[in-house]
Amino acid sequence: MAGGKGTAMKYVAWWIPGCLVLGLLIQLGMQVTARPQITMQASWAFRPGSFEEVVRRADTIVIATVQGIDAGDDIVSIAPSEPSGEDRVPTLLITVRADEVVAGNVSPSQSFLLFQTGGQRTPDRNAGNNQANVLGPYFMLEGDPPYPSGERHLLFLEAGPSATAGATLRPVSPEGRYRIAGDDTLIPAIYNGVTAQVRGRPLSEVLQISDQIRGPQRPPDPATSGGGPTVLPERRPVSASDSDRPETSRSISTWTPTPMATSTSTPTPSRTPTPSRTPTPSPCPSTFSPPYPCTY
Amino acid sequence: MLRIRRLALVTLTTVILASTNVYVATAHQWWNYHWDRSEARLDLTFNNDATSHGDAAEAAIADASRTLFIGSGRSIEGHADVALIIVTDDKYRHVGWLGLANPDELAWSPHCLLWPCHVTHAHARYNAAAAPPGPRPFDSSEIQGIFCEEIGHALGLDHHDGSGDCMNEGAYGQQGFGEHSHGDIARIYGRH
Repeated sequence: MAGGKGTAMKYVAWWIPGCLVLGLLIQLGMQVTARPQITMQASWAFRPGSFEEVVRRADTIVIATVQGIDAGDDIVSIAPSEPSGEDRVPTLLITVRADEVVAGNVSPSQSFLLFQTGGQRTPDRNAGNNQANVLGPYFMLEGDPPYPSGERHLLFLEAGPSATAGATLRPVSPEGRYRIAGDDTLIPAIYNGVTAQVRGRPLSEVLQISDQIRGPQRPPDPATSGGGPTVLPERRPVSASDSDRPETSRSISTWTPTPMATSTSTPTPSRTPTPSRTPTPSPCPSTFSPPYPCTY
Repeated sequence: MLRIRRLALVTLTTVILASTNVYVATAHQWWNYHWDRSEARLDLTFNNDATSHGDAAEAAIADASRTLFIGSGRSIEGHADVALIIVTDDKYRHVGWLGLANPDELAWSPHCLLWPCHVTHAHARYNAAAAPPGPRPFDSSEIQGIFCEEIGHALGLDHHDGSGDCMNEGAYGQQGFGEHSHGDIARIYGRH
């Protein structure tokens, strides 16, 4: 009995390398079978120098839950040297439901579309012997990761391009999207000096900061906000197990946009009152300084 | 004694396997890809596909070629290429980016499972339809700066805080590669 126990103990030390071998084999297997992922890098049109600039730039600020992901229209440009004579960048349309509207031309519980550059490219090119074209790579923009279904986000938005499915909004920049963790703290999509100002802070505190920066609410400028996003019909959230990576083909097959009513009403900033967030002066966060109406 | 040797063997095996796991987990990211640098030359050419602002694209190509030659010490010729593309359709005005770069094709072989593959084709785009951050349209030198930055990304460079350099993360307006990027090119493509 003791001998058997001793033999078992002798091999315990090899359990860790054994697990690592298993992990390596799993990784190699996944790389053989999974679609390659290519990271794109962008020069964003808006490069905020502070969180204040993000707040001031946004026409729409919402707390929203991701409901689904669909393939959008490719961004197509002429490229004579390409085999197909054109360059295509895939895009995604993220359906989100506004849980709470801080500012902007959307209503609470309204579903609308977010525009995102990236997604699955259709393997339509002629060039042949490479992994990318055979499997169809998944393009992801650095600083703008996929939106898993069911996740809640605090989003600072402005007008996105008009897609076939309707008008869209998009974050003002990567610094304009924050995932809301289970403990209601914010996790930025990108880590830099701007997002460090709010990273890990409670949602309620950041919303209060946002209120202080924005000051008296102003109606969004229709010239820049594009009259608001297209209102979408109610959509059932996809289960959490579907959220690892957007499966655009699946989404398309299970959800077809029905005729939508485009929001054309006069933009009126709306906001669901939340008892826990009263707009009274509060102690100033350490990374912010006057003239925000807070007390030191 | 035997126990110590066995412990050392287990530790060494664990470290090697853990490192390999981490390496494989990150190997399919762009920053581990690079253009073929195994020869005396760099297998790389630039295709100017810009249907407008061609002069800015050409100037960016000249600067990138010069930087690559100085940084790597290799001549540059071959079939792998970076295509410089202009996005002009006004419907892409609100996509949010002025420039976009990505490797488009990779030389696939079994060794890609364990270490980086070669990039054989990349795209560097300037979105002429997007509104620039300032109150006026970009001039030719600023457009060259965007192309420069995207070419830099296509070569595997990341943003940095070096001054006088198009890869500087801060603001637009730098036309070409500066000392910081020259150093990055030398590290990636130089003869070692």
